[in-house]
Amino acid sequence: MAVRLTAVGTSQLNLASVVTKPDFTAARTIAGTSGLVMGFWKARWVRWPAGATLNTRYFLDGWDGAGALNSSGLDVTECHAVIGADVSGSQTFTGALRLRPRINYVGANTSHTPLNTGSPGDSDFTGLPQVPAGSGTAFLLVEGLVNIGSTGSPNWRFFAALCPFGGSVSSAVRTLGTNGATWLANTTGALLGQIFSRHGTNARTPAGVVMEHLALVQGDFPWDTVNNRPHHDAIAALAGVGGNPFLDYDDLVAAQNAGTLPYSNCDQGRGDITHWWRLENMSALGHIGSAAANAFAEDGTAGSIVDETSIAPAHWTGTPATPGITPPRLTFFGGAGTRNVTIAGTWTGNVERRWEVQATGVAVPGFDWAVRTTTAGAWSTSDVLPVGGPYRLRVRSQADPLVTASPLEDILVGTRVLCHGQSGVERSFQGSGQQPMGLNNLGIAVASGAQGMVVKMTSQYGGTAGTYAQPGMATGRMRSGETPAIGHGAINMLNQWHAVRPNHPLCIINMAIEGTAMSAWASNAAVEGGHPSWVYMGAVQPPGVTAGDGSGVVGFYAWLLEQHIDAHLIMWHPNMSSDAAVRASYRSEIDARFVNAASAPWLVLPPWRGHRPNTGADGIITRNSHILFAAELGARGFLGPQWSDVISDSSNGLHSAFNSAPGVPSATFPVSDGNQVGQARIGRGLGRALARVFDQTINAQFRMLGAWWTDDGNRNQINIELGRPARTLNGASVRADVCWVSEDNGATFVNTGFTAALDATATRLVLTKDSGTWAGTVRVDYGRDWPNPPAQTADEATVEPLLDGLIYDSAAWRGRTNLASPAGNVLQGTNRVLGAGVAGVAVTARGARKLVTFERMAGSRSVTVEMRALGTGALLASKPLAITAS
Amino acid sequence: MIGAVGRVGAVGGSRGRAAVAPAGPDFTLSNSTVTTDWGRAVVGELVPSGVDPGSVYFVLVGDPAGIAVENG
Repeated sequence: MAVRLTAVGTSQLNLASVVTKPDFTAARTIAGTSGLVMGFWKARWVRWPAGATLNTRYFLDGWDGAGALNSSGLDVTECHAVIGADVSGSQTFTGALRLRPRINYVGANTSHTPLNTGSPGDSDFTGLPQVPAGSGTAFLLVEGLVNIGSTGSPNWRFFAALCPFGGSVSSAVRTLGTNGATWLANTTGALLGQIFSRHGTNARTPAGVVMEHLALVQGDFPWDTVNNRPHHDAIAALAGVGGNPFLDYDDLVAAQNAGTLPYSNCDQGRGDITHWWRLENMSALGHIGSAAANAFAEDGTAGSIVDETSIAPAHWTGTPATPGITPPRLTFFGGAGTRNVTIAGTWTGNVERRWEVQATGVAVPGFDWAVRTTTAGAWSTSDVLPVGGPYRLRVRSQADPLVTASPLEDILVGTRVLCHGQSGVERSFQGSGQQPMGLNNLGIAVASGAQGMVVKMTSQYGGTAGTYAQPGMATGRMRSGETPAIGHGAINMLNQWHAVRPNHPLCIINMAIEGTAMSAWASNAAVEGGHPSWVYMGAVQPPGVTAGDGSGVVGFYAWLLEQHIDAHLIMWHPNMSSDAAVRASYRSEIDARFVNAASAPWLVLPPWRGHRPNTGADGIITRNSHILFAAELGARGFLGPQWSDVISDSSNGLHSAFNSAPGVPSATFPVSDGNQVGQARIGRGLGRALARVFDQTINAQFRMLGAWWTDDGNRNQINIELGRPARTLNGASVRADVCWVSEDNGATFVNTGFTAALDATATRLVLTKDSGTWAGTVRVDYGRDWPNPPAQTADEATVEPLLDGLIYDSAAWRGRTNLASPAGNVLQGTNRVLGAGVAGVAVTARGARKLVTFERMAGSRSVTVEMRALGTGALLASKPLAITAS
Repeated sequence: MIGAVGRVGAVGGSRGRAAVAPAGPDFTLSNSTVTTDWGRAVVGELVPSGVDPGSVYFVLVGDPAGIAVENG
């Protein structure tokens, strides 16, 4: 579409603000580069009315300063683009060249043109032909000022060029006149104020003139250094003729800024499209470009200028080229707001980027539009965005802000946790089989405000040499309020994380693979059943299309995550190595691939099997290895709560329940997760346990701290100090069969012959022998074995009541969900392998009252301790106590 | 009741040595530094004063992480 003047002397289009000229002699910043002394150019598509009688001069666009008449009787005191030859200033327009374009630019109170040497007058370009009047043919008219010298030594040329639609390019060049120097430095002269002219009688725009795509560009038009003229190939490209790719203004400017114009002998120059009035219709008279908004409005008889069919070549109306944004490997960025979010893309010129909150469209504070330099057609932006999201990235051309990239959306910034292990971990997020995202059998919704993602490798075994299938990555989004088809263990983990770390997105990376031993990973063995070149650790790269290519499971994840992770989470049952050297090797191999996370913490969750005999590698040996692993990690290790298989899927694999609809055990695995005792409960626990790694004030947990005889002489009652108030659930009695006593200093334990109860303060577990006394060197333990074998706990309905008699931290929230892993952990840290002086806690004579720690910590802490009266509980004294931990 | 509790000295001074009120129930922590690990580490003993040590017990206030009181 275009705009057309329907009658002479009725209307013109006036800009809201006249565009004044800059000081061309001064260095300017153009296309992101400062210190440039350059000119400008202006262009438009025009169609002269067919059949008109044209024997005077006519204005196309310019500036009608005040509507006053000048000495020549013109109403337009300062005019720019003129059609018509003024023979010797006579105002007579005859002959073959009466429709030759002429150009004026105004320097205030000096001259009407920088080209003339004498009195004001039009600036003829004698080399130009007349416009194709009368034929109804459109033409492109370009004129401007070019510095063909250098910034230090400018050499100015004015040019005008003309190319009819489908025709050929003509151009003419002039040097500055005597007024030129004054005009160059002037900063009050006008470059543009109006389109068409309605005043006066002898210079008004003829009826029927159509205009479209008027642009004002700062910078130098591409210059033909051999023919010393505006490069005709560039003009041809704009006009849609010639053998080079057709361009519109932003294409041309972007290419010249990138230095990629393919024309010979071309000084490409640089450009900044400050204004581009597309003039596609009378309802869209604003401009695009880098300058502030400046729209045309009709001045005169309303409706005299109307919409018209487009006169520009077809390539002007096609979809313009836009900057490209290369999708990141993962749209979830870790670092919790401390690391750069780096996004790259393509474009021929500089771009501007803006991060905004997707839900509101408001710019993220500090991340509104800003220039990013393009080099060799590529740009990138690195921004330390705050924790949160989803964010949207917008990118646009610096030269033409309306040329925008398709935005990149759903970017999250938060914490990424890498989960290690085998099926016990893997299936807690994905359910059974090889469904990467698992099933949301319970229909659990993502908590309001929570945002998260699950990442899992597809085709993780790769296939054999004959059946290789290239591993890839699957991602699943957990969005606030939605109920996604993602394993409900993952959703519960996110929800509980969100409860204590609100609005902090969490990314769960499920790297665990069922049936695999830590030793195989540590030795970088080939993945079982997979291509021989597809290994566990491998190189940091994605696997090949036809083979593993020496890449590895860890390597692939490291590549995906740009070798950074915020935290590791590990529970490796039953094949956590009991060899410290293997564990050290595994850790170092992981660190070698995640080189950008040298201090990332490890949350170690010892397995606690309720569903199977807790002997050998199935139980306490593996648990012990986890406790050791946490200690071996030093300051990076965080010993978390036990990972308990309250209900397994009967495959003996420490698989939490996940299979069936709520309350409907499956035919294959006689369990369900209707009461959230399996995958769902594990997930809940993991959310808080992980959060506690980053904020140890989130909650605490108690452990079995010490044990002493009520009466040394009798040795028939043992007090186990818990250090914190504890309780059972639903009023159940404490189960004695999860308490264990050794009379041979930890070599063997039994769980019979005594009762168990909490004392009046609930901070002490009391074991009372049924008869007689304990002999030998006595040690006690809790939960060494959890005698709920499959035969007794066929389904969750059976096992749930058995859980009530365990002891839990008294904090309300830890209650029913305590067992399967919230950070409030039952007596963690005492379950060691059998061995004299090793397993359990020694029972001694009662010692002094003490303040103790039972976790690794550092720095100053303050706690408040109360002294109360036995029996009444009356408060006797209270005071804060400062301690310094290391 | 303001002014009715106790007689804490008399403005203008008193003659002779001031009477020392009996100490009320109190306690101290014998040590305040500790090297921690994932097992139990003793910070210090809680030592009652002004009260029969066998008639009291200690509790923590709040939910401090990784810290506990042992009453034996």
